[in-house]
Amino acid sequence: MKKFFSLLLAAIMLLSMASVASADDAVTITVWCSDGAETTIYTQMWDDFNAKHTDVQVNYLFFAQDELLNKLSTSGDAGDTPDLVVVDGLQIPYFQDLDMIACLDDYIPEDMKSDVLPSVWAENTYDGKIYGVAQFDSGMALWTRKSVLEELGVRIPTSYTDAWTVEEFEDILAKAKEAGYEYPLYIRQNKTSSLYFTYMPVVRSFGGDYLSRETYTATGTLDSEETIAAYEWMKRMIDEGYINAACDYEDAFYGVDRHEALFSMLGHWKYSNHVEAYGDDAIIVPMPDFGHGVYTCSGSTVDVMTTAAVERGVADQAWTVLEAMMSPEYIKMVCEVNGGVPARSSVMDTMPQWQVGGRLYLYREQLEAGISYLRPITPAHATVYNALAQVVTDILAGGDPAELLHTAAEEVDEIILENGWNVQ
Amino acid sequence: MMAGKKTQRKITNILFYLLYVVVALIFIAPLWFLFLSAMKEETQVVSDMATMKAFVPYGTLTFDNYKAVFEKLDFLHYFRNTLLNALLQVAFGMVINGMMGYALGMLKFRGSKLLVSLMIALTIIPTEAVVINRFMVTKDLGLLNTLWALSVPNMATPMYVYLFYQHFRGMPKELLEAAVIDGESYTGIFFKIMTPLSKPIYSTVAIMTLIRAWGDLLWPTLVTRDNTWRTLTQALRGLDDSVYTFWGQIFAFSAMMTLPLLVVFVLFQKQFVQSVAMSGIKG
Amino acid sequence: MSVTTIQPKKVRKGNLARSQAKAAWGLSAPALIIMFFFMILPFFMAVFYSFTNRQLVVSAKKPTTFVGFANYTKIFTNSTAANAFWCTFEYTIILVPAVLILATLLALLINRKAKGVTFFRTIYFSPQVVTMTVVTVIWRTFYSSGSDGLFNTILTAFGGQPQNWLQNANLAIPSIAVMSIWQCLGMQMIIMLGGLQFIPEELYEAGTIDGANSWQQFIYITVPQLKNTLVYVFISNTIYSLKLFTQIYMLDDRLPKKVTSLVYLMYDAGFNDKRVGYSSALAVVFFVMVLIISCVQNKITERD
Repeated sequence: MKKFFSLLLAAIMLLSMASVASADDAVTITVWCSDGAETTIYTQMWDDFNAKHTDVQVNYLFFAQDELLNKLSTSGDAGDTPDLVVVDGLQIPYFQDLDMIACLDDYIPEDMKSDVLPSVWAENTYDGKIYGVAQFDSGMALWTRKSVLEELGVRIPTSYTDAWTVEEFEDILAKAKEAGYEYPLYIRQNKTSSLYFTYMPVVRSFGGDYLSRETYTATGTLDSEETIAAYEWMKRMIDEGYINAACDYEDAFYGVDRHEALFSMLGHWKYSNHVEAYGDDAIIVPMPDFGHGVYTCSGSTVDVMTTAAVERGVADQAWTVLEAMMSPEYIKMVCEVNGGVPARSSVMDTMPQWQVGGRLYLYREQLEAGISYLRPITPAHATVYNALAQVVTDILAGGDPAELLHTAAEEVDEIILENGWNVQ
Repeated sequence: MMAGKKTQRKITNILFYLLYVVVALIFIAPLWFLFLSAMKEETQVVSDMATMKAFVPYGTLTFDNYKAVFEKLDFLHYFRNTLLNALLQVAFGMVINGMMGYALGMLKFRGSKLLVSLMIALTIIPTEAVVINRFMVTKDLGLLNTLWALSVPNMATPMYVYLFYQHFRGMPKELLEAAVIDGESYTGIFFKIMTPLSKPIYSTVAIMTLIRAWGDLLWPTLVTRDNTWRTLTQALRGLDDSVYTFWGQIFAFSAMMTLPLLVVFVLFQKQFVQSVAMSGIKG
Repeated sequence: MSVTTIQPKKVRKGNLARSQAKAAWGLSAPALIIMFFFMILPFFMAVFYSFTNRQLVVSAKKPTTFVGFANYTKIFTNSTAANAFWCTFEYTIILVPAVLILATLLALLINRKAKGVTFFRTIYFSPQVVTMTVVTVIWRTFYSSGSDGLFNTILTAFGGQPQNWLQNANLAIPSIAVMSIWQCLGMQMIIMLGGLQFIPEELYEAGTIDGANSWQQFIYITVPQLKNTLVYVFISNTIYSLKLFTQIYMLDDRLPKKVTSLVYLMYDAGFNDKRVGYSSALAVVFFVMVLIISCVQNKITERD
C-alpha cells in the first residue's frame, strides 16, 4: 500500500511539471475563441500575426462555445477577462448589456466602414454605436441541383428579385416528389436549433418575427398570426410528406445514394459537402417569397474587444489585432477555408465565386442589397434560441404550432421581464 | 438413463453459453460501433451512422481519425491533465474518505451519528445546481486554474465516506481494542492495521472515483481558465460545433478516451471484481 | 499512552473516550473541511440566493434584491417544473427496479462455475468505463427515428412500426432509462455478485436436501441473504437516478419540451436563462424532496 502511494505521488509530481511561460517586452493580447471549423485557420492566422509583430503578441485560446460562455460569465469574478473575444455574434448582447464589451467607434476608419457589408455593421451596432467587427458573414439561400430543376422544367431564379412565390415553390416540391425525391425539402431538421437561423427568412416573409423589435418581448410577436402561419406551413409540409420529420441525418441532400431531398435549406457552411457530391450541379437559389417579400438571414462569428482590455490600457494593441484580422489578406485566408461571405466587398472583388455569374454571387447580392433580416440582438438570446429549437422539435413530433408558440412566448417573456432584458 | 441426464446437462450448458453470448453482444455492440466508426471516412460515418451499416466494417478503413486525434487535437496534453486529476482524486480520496469512514465506523464519539446522517444528506446535493457557488468559493481560495481546483473539491465524497463507514462498522471491534492495549494510537491503528485489512473496499472506491473523475465535464469548464489544465471531456466537447460536427474525430477521440480505462479494467478485472465482491457492500 | 493498573478505572475510561473522540475528529477533519468549502457552504449560499433574484453575472446594473418566496411559488406554479418532477420520477421508477432485477439475474448468470465466465464478466462490465457523454453520443444514433435506425430495424424485423424513440414524449424517458441501465448495470452486477458470494454454500445444500427447487431456493435463501446488498443498490440507484442530468443535457435538442429533468432544469435556469435565484430555489426543493425519499426508504428497509 505504502509503495503504491509513493509511486503514485512520484508519478503525479513528474507529470505535473508544467511549462513556465517566458516573459518579454511585447504586450500580450489574450483572445478567447470559439472552437470549430475555423480553429486551424485561426491558429495559422495568429501565428502569422505573431511572427510579423514584435510589440504585440496574440495569446489565443480555443474553447467549445458553451465552455467559452461559462468562462466569460465567470471571468469578472475570476479576474481573467480576455482582451478579445471571437464568438457567435448573438452571444455578445448579453455581455454588452453587462458593460463587458468595448465600443469601437473611435477606432474604425472610414474606408473600412464603407467597405464592410451592411449586415455586419447591423449585427454589431447597439444604440447606434459599433461594438464589434467580423471577418465574414453567412450566406443563406436554398441549395438545389440545376440539372434536376431543368429536367422538371421549372424556372431557375438567379437573383433574389426573381425568387419563386410560395405557390411556385410548392408546385416544384410536388413535381420533385413525383420525380422520386421522397422528401424533397431538407431543413436540417436533425439539428432543430439551426432553424433559428435558417427559418428566420421564412418567418419574416410571412410577416412574423421572434421578438418585437421595439420592446424585445415575445408576446404578440412570437405568437402572432403571421409567425404561427410560418410554422403552420412547416407543419403542412411535414404532413403532406415534403419534409421528413424522422430524418436525423445530415446528408439528406448531399447523400447521393440516399436521393432523398432536392432542396437543402441551410447556410454556406455545407458548401464543400454539396460541391463534393454534385460539382457544378449544386447551385443556390433565393428563398421563396411567402407573401411579404424575399429575405435572407445573416450573422456570424464576430470579433469584439472587452472593456477589461480598455481598463488594462491595452485597447490600442487589441485594436491592432482586430485591424489585422480585418485586413483583406486574413479575411481572404479565412473565407477560403470556411466558405463564408467575406465581410469586405473589396475582398470579394478578388474572388471569382463572388463575381456576377459566380457560383455564390447570390449570397453577396442579397447581403449588399440589405435584404438580410437579423435574428433579434438581445441579451435573452440563449433563452429565445432554446425556446425556438424546442418549438421545432415539438412540431416535428406532431405538435400544434399555435399552442407551442403561445406557451413559448409566455415562458420567454417571464424570463426576459425578470432579467430586465426588455426595452421600455 | 445416465446418458440422458448427461445430454440434458450438455444442452443446458449450451443454452447457457448461448445466453452468455447474446448478453455479451448487447454489451459489446455499442463499443464495437464506436471503435469501428472512428475508422471510417467522414462521409461514410455520417451516412452509416443511424443505420445497421454502422456495425459493418466495409469501405475504406483507415486510422486517419485516430491520427488526427493525436496530431491535430493534442490528445496527449489533455490526457495528461485528465490522468493527473483522476490520480489525485483517487489517491487522496482513498485516504481522506477512508479516514473519516473509519472514524465513523469504529470510533465512539459524540456527534458520530449526526455525521453519518450528514453524509447521507450531502450525497443528495446536486453539484450542477450549486456549481456557481462552488466556483466562487474556489476562486476565493485562490485555486482557480490549478490542478488543485480540478481535484480537491472532488476528493471528499460523502457517498464513499458512507461506504467506508459501512465497511469499518463490520470490522471486529476486538482488533481495535487489542491494538489500543498494545499502545497504538487510533490514527496509527487506521494506517497500520485497518488499511491493509481493507484493500478490497479501497480498490472499489478507487475504480469508482477513477471513472467519475474521467468523465467530469461541467466543473472543469469553470475552473480551468486556459489550456494548461483542460481535460479530455472539454476537448471532446470542442469537436461538436453548433454548425459543423466532426463525427469521425468525435468517435476517434471518444474511443481513445475510453481505451485507457478499458485497458486498466481488463488488466485488473480479476482483482477488481474480487475486491468489490469482498468489500461486501452492505446497506 | 501507558496504562497502569493503579489508575482508577473511571478516569482511564474517560481518557480513552476523549482520545478516541480527538482522533475521530482529527481523522474526519480533511474530509469535513473539503465538504464544508465545496458542498455545505455552496449549498447554504444556494439557500440564501433562492430568496433573491440573483443573476448569473452580478453587476451594478443588475443588483441582487430579495424577492421573498417568489422563486418557490414559481416552481410550484409552472408546467416546466412539473414536467421535470414527473420525468425524473418516471425515470427513477423505471431504472431502479430494472437495475435491481437485471443486476441480480446477471450476477446469478456469471456466478455459475463454467469455463470462460471471467471473459463474459469483463464484457458485461465494460460499458461502465465509457463516460456518459460518450454513451449518449453512441446511443443517440441507435435511437434514430429513421426506418433504418438500429432499434427501428430490429423492431420492424419483428413486425413492429418504426418509432420516434426520443421525440415521442411517452417513449423518451424509457429510452433514456434503457441506455442508462446499459451503462450502469456492470457495476451493480458485480456488487450483487459480491453479495451472492457471501451466501454460505451450506444453505443451498440444506435447501436441496429439503427438496426445494431452484426457484424456491432463490426466493427463500438467495433473496433474504442478499437483503443488505439489495438495499444498498436500491438506495444508491434511487439517488443516482433522481440526479439525472448528463443524458438530458446531451440529448436536449432531440427531446420534446415535456421531457426534461430537475437537475437539468437547474442548469438551464442558471446558465441559459441566467436566473441563479430560481435555479437555487430548485436545488433547495430538490434537496428536501430527495431527503424525504431517502428517509422513507431508510425507514422501510431498516424496519426489521
